[in-house]
Amino acid sequence: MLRTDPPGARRPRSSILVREERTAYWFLLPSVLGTAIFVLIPIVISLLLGFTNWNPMRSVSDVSFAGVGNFRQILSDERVLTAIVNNLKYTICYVPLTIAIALLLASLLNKLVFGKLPLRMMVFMPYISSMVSVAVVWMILFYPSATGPINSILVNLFHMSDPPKWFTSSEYAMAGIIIMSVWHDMGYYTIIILANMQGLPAEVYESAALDGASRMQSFWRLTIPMLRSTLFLCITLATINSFKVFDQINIITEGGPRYSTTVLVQAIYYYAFKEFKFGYASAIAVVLFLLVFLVTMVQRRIEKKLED
Amino acid sequence: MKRVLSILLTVVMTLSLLSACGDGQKPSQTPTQTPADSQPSQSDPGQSTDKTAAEPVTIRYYDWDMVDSAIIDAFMKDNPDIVVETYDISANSDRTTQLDILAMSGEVDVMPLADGDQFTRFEQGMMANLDELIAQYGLDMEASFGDYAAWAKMGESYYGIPYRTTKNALYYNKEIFDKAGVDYPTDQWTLDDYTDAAAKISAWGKNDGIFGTYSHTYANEWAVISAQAGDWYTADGLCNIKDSVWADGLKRRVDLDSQGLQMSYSEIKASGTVINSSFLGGKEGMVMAGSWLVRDMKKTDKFPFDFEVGIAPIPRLDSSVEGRRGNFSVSVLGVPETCKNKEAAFRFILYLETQNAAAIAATGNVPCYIPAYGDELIETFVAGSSLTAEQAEFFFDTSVIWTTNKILGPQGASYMSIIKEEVEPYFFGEAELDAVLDNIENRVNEILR
Repeated sequence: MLRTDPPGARRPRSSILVREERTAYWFLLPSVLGTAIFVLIPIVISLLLGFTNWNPMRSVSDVSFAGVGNFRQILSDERVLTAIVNNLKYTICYVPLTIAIALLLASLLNKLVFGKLPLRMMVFMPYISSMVSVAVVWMILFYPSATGPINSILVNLFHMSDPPKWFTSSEYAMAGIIIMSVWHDMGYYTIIILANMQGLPAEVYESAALDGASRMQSFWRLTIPMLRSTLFLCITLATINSFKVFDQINIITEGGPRYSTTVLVQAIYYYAFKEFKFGYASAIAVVLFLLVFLVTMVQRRIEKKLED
Repeated sequence: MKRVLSILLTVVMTLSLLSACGDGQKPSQTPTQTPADSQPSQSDPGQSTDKTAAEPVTIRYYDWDMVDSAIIDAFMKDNPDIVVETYDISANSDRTTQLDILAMSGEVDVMPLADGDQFTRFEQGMMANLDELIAQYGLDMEASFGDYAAWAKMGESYYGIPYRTTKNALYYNKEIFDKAGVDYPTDQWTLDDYTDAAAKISAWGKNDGIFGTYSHTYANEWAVISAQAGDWYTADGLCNIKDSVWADGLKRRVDLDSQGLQMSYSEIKASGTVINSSFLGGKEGMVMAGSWLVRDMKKTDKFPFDFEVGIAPIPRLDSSVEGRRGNFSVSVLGVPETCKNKEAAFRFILYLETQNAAAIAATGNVPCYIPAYGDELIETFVAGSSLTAEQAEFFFDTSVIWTTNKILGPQGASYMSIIKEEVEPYFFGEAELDAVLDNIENRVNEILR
């Protein structure tokens, strides 16, 4: 006779299963512990600090409760508000550009027969190069006078009479930073996309070819849908990284001219280490966390909707 | 067995995770290496005296311009109860932030503070009050440091001891002046004379990329000459940036840039040009720079040059300004509040400053300890720099009227930082001067009120 459990009743688990689960938890413990100590607890402390006035130069007993004062201050702080706008500008330009170029490069590298390895290395090389050296190189490329390498091209090839001053111009500094960041990071996403592209089943493409699909049609109707989860992963990673951008800006423009390239991490750094307002800097960090969280959630929703 | 193994593995993994994140290393700064020993200098335990029967205390001294390690060794020999570890940090623009972070975490016992940054640290409570120790060791601040003492003071208390002073002078390249047919600068030179000479040299050197002069992008560098006549605060203690002296100073910088008499602000920023390599590289006829240029003139392997350098006072703002003029700022040595051995740190500072002014001068820096001033100190200061002692006397001359472009009043460091942020778009040719001055005034008054 077939044994049936009433709905909702829990089936007793076998002792082997219980033992295996327990072992699994033991193995997970180091990672959970590491994440708790170095990620979760700092996030909670940062959140709590956001409600305090704390100057690390003074004793801990001088910490005072600020209520929502720090968060209210953000609403009227030109530096932080500009940083939020700059962060969004950066993300909106950086993420699609990086992923689109990475996808294009991955497709080209996937089709190549000769020279795959050196080309892959060339594409990946900027990503493993130190940001300081990359920044120095791009500062030379974007030299603001007409004699700068990029401006020379603009002047001589495109007859531009007043070429951009790039990193020394409020108008173009962020554009320069975005171009440099895209160049630096695209190799990383190219490799991820390429690795997944190579795992796509060849027979699907063969069938499509037999049905008369062109290469472009195969790309848009087969490759892109089959790479959807990879692309979403890349977009999510690129988005999170774009909100964390700091190194290149700190090296090249230090957030200037004025606030034109100031981003949230820059503002956090400024208030924490230049003004010694750890409470306020923590409040900005909370805003940054919420922004990243929100954007990631929206992306996940979109991904889920597309999957459904 | 499996369970024991898995628990064992888990414990090992957890411990390795925690140990990997632990602080097993010293801070990233490299300890100064003595020729004989690559480890931080330490006293020989064998030389311990009765006085040091107890374990010696260790103090960590950070600086970007370290004195000869023999001085540190000599101190430890004389004071066997103190071990000094020296850490040479890079003299880049982030050095103050690096030191702040180290000081906050209790890693520093003695540290330099320069360019007026000290006042923010005093106000923030970062540095220890040294009044008691000064009294205990009988250090007469006025007699020892004169006007420099004000740079170590907040209210009536001392939070540092004046260490080195940067004295600005007008350095000029005699070869360029000769070739351009321009007379050397004199003690009577005014701003107009300076601008005329810069224009003549620029016209002469245009094809070789040689400029008449150079103004760096340091905070308030544009204000070196204006500081002879300007006041940063109004009578009621508010921002006085709209005073015509300051506005003219800002305009002058832009004029010199736009007339091609000096490398433009944006080009200096974009190319990362620095004064020492630019001037000693023969790229301009003259430059107003600190006495640290003498230090760099000694480093001929790093900054090779083969021309004769002349030294003159800073040009006067106009003919109404009298006397020989110079610009100066003072760095102090301080003990962070987090230091656990404040007395030991103070003893070390005292030794370094009052007994070793010559060693400081030997690095090409002007020490602040006035009783040590004399011909011998000037000779030491200038040795190896190609300058003569007569030329270098300027930096020690008490008859020169020394003013400062740094803001020493309330919220001075923030005031300077706001100016730097706001004037940049003006120097880049993107903002109007009036709008810039409005922004500065509003922001500074907000923090002053």
